Amino acid sequence: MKAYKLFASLAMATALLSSCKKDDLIIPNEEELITTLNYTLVSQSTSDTVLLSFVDLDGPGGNDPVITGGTLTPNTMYDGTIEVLNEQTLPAEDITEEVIEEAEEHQFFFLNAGGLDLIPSYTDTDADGNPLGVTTTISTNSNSSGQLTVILRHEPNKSASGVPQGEITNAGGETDIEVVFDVDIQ
Amino acid sequence: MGQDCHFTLSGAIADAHTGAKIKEARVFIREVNSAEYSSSAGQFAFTQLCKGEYHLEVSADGYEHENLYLKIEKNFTTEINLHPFSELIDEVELQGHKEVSRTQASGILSKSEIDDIGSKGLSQAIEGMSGVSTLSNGDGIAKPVIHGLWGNRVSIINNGITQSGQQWGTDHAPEIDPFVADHISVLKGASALAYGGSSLGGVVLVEQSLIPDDPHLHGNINYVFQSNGLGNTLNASLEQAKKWGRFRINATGKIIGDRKSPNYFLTNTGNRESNIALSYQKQFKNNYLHRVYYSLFNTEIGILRGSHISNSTDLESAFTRDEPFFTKDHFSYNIEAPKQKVQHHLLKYRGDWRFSDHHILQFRYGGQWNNRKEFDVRRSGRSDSPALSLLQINQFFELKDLIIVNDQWLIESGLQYTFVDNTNDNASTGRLPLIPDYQSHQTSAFAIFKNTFDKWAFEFGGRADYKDLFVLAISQTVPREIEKHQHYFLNYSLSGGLGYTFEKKLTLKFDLGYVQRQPEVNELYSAGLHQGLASVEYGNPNLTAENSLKALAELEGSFFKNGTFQLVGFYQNIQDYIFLRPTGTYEINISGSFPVFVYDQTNATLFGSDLSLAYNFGRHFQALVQASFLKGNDISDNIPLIFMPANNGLVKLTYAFEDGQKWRNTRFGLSGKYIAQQKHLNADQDFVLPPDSYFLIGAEAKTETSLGKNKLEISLRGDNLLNSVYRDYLNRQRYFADDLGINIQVRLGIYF
Repeated sequence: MKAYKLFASLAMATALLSSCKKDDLIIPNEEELITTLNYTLVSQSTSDTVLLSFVDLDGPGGNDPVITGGTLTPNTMYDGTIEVLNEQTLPAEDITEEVIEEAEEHQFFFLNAGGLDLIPSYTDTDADGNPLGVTTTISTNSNSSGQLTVILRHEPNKSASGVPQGEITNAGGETDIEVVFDVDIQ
Repeated sequence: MGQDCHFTLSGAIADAHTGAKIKEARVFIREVNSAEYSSSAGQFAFTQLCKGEYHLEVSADGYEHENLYLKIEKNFTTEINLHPFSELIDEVELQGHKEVSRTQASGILSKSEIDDIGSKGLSQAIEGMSGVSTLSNGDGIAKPVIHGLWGNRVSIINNGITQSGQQWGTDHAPEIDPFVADHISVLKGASALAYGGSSLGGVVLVEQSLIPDDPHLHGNINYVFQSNGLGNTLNASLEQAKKWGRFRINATGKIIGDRKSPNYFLTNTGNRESNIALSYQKQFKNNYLHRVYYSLFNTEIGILRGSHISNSTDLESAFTRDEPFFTKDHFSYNIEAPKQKVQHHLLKYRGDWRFSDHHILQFRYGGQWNNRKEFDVRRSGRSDSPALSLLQINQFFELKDLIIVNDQWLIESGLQYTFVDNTNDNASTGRLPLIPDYQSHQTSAFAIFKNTFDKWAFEFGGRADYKDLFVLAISQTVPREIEKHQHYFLNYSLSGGLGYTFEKKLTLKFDLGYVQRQPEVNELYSAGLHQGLASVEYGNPNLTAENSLKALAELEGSFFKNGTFQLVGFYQNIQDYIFLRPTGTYEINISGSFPVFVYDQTNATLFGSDLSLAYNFGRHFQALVQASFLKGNDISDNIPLIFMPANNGLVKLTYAFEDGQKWRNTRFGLSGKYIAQQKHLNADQDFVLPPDSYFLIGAEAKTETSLGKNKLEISLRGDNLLNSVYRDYLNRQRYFADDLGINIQVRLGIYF
C-alpha cells in the first residue's frame, strides 16, 4: 500500500534526522548568581576583626551553604563592611559594585532576633541621601546571643515610614539576599 | 424587471444522524432577508423566489448551524441535514456512520458561543460546561481542568494534532486562539484512545469545519471591547471556494491592560496576542481530500507584580496584605517582568483517501514549534533577558485507517510517531534551567471497534505507546557537569463503552477506560525555584507510570414535555498518581529559605457528578440549572488531594424575543454562579486556607439585524455585576490578590 509506505518512510526519515542525539548543551554563565556574602566587623577600639560569612558556591540547590557566625565583644563599636561576591567566576566578581552603582534601588537591612543586644546604624547614603548599608556601624551592648539577619532588598520604597531608619516592615521590594548569622556577644 | 420570480424552494430538515425530522428549525435566506420555520414534519418552503444565487442559514436548538449556498433556476427541493451538537466531533462519515463515539459523554461549544466568549481565551470559553473548570494564574494564564485533572493529564487536540508546549506547569496556557475554532468539544471519558495515551482526565477538541463550496467571499469581523482591562480584541475571518481550492484566513489581535479587582488595580496583568491561521482544502476526484493548515500564535502576558516572591518570609507577609505589593493606583497597558512571551507555530497536513464508502485512509502530519520565554524581575537590567527560554519542536505523523466491516463494525486503527526536542537557551538566560533539555521518540498503535445495533452502541479499543526519553541535565553542584539519563516506557490503554437509547430520546452511556501515563520530564527532572510561590521543586527520576481506571455513566433525555437533562457520574482510581509532595523541609540559599516539594506517587481516587437541566417555558423562556460535585482523595495517606475544583452550581434564565422586522434572534439572559468553598482539604496542605464561597451575577443580551446583505450581531455581556470581592481556589493569584471586579463586554460582529 502506497500510503503505508509513505507513512513509514516519512516517519523513518524524521527518526533518522532527529536521531542524532543531543549530547551537548551550553552550561550557562551564571553571572547574576550571588554565592557569597561577607560581613566584616572591625572593632573601633582594638581593630579585632570578626567575619560573618555565607558561602554557597553552587548556588541554589546542590550542596548546602556554609554559614559562619561570630562572637563580638560587649559594649564595643564595630565598623561593618559588606562584600557580595559571585565566586563561581574566576576571578570572583564583586557584586557589591553593582549594588553601589544602583544604590537608589537597593538597601541592606540588619535585624536582630533571639535577644541579641546590638544596634546597627547606616554610615553610607545613596544620591538621594537615603541609607544603603554597604557600610555600617554596630554597637554591642551586654552579653547576649541570637541571630543577626542581613537582608538586601531590590527596589524597596526607600522613603516609606521607618525604612531610612532600617525598619524593613514598609520597605516592600524584592529580596535579593537574606542570610541569618548566629552571633554571640560575650 | 422582467425577472422570473415564481420559483419555490422547499425541503425538509432532518437530524443527520437519526434522520428524524426537525421541527421549528429556522431557515433564513440572506438575499430576501426573511426566515421560515419548519413544520412539525420538518417541512419548509419559500415561494416567489427569483432566479439567482441564495445563501441559507439553517439553525435549530441543539444543532450546529448550517450555511448553504444554492443556485435557483427552477423549483427546487432539498433535504437539509443538521448535525446534533453531541455529534460534531470529527467529520469523517462512512455510509452514514459517524466516526464519533456514541458512547462518550461530551460537551460542545458552537461557533456563535465561541464568537461571544472567545476573547476570554480557550479555557474560560469552555469553563461554562459542567464538569469543566479552569486552573489559572490571573486572568491571562489559564488552562482547562476536566473532572479535577489538568496539564499532563488532559490532552488538547488542535485540528487533529495534540497541542504540544510546556503544558506541565500551572503558569502555562494552551497556545490556541479559540476564534479559529468552529466548535470546541470536551470528552470527559477516558476512552479517547485515538488522541494519545496520557489523557486520564479527558480531551479538549478544537476543530474547524470543512470550508463550504461557496464561490463567494464570505467571512466575518468581530470586535470585542471589555471594560475590565480596557481590552480590545479584533478578529477577522475570510473564506472562499476557488477553482484551485478552498481557503480560509483567520486573524486575531488583542490588547488588554491591567485588570482590576473591585478595590485595586492588578498591576502588570495585561496581555497581548496576535494570531493568524491559514487553511487550504482541495478535493481531487471525490476520492482525495487534502487539507493544509498553518497557524501562528503569539502572546505576551503580564504576571501580577505582587505575586513574584523572593522567599518564604516575604511570602508570609504577602499573604497578610490588604492589597498586593507593587500595586499602582492607575491603569496601564504596560507589561513588564514578571511576564511570559510565547510563540507557537503549527503546520498540519491531513489527507483523506476514500477508497470506497466503506474504507477511508487518513494521513496526518503535525509540526509544532513552541518558543517560550519567561521573564523575572532581575538585577542590573537583566529583567530583559529571559529567566527561562525553551524551544520545543514536535513532529507528529499518523496513518489512520477507517473501515466498515459487514456493514456493522466500524474499525478505526492507526499508527503514530511523535518526536519531541526540547532545548533551553542557557546562553541567554544565564541560569540553570528548571526543565532539562530532552529528546523523545514515541511510537504508538491503536485500534478501536465500534458497532451500532438497533438501540445499542458498543465501542472498545486498545492502544500501546512505546517511548524513549533522553535527558540532558546540568548538575546542581559545581563544577557544573552534564548528566545524561535514558528512560524507556511501554504503556497500554484499554477502553470500552456502551450506549443504549430508550424510547422517547432517553440515552444511557457507559464508559470504562484504563489508561497508563508515563511520567513527564518535569515530574522526573525539574529542579529549581518556582518564583510564583517561593518554593523549590525537585523531580524524581524513579517515578513509574500512573495507572488510571475511570468509569463514567451518562443519562441524557427529556422530562415532562419541554425539559432536557444530562446527568454524569464518574469514579476514577489512579494507582501511582504523581503529585508534588511537600517535604516539610526548607532549602537555604542566599536569598532566604524555601519550602521543598518533591514529585512523589500515591494512590488516588476521584469521583463526582455533573448535572444539567434545561426547561423551556413556552417558546420564549428557558431556564438552565447546572451543578458539579467532585471529591479527590489520596487514599494511601488518607488525605484530600489538593487543587481539586470546588463544588459549584449555575442558574441561567434566558428570554428569547419574537423576531421583529428589523431585529432578530434577540435574547436576554441572567445568570447566577455559585462556587462553594473547597472544604475538602486539610489546613496543613496549602499555604493559606481555600477562599470562601462566592456568588457572581452575570447578564447577557444579544441581537442581530441585516446590514444590506450582511448580518450584524450585537452582544453585551456583564460579569460580576455586583462587583463582588472574591478569590477563586483554582486561581494561584488568590494567594496575593482578589479576583476580577465587574466587567462589561460589548461585541460587534459583521458576517458577510
